[in-house]
Amino acid sequence: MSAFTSIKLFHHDSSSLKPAELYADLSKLDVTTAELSWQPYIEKKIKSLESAGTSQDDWPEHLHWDWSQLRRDTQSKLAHQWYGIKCDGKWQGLMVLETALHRARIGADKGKHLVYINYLASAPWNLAEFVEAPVYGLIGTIFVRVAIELSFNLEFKGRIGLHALTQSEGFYRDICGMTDVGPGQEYSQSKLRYFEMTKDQAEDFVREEKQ
Amino acid sequence: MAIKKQMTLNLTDAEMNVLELLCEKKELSKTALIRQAIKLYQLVDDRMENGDKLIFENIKKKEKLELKVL
Repeated sequence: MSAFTSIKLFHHDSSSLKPAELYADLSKLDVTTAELSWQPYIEKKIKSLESAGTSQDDWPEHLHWDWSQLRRDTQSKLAHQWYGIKCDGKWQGLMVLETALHRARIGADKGKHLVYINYLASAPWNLAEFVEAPVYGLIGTIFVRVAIELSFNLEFKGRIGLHALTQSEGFYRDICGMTDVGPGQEYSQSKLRYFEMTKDQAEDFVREEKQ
Repeated sequence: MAIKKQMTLNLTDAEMNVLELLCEKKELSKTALIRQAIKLYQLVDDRMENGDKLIFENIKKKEKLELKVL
């Protein structure tokens, strides 16, 4: 992994901010370490869904994400960038961004480049769907901010887009202020809803973050 | 931030015209646009080396067109 940036996560138990590190360009070892530490929680969740008789179609999609395979697929690709957040010596979240294949679909900037959030996940112990008392918060917000920063650096003016997991739709719409464009459409056959942040929305997000 | 290296690029008038038109259309500097082109070229080339085809699909017209790169 490369040099890190100091950030702060919200520690739910103490209701305080705790120092953490944001890393870019994660190594194979980083990704494997994160995956191995998350696996027991994911396996436990899968077992509980199986015993409840929940159809696999209704399982949260991120239970199937294979981070090691994703890293192999995107290795050495200039269009893909990996980020990770570490705190307490553990990987608290991972994100993969893609910067070449997606274009804005809404507003005056339709057809212009944007940063697409391919994958974004918090460690299972930070999610209410896995544990009764999640440990850290703000991971999603920090990653969205990182995607916006990269978008500005690439001259995309802050534009970002993503297909949201069902349980995360409210976060992107209400917390991040992104536009809910709807399911699938044009570039994707996905059933997941597509969300986009325009340059104005990106500026609003950054402004509110600073306050 | 990665260390950047400088280079001189020699283009014909036609190539420069296309570059400038694309820069205007996408609201990008020439450097940013060329960076995008390199990323896309790498992705496409890797896929084709793995035996994948490059296909353009128009969902509205229900048309598919394979771009043959031989």
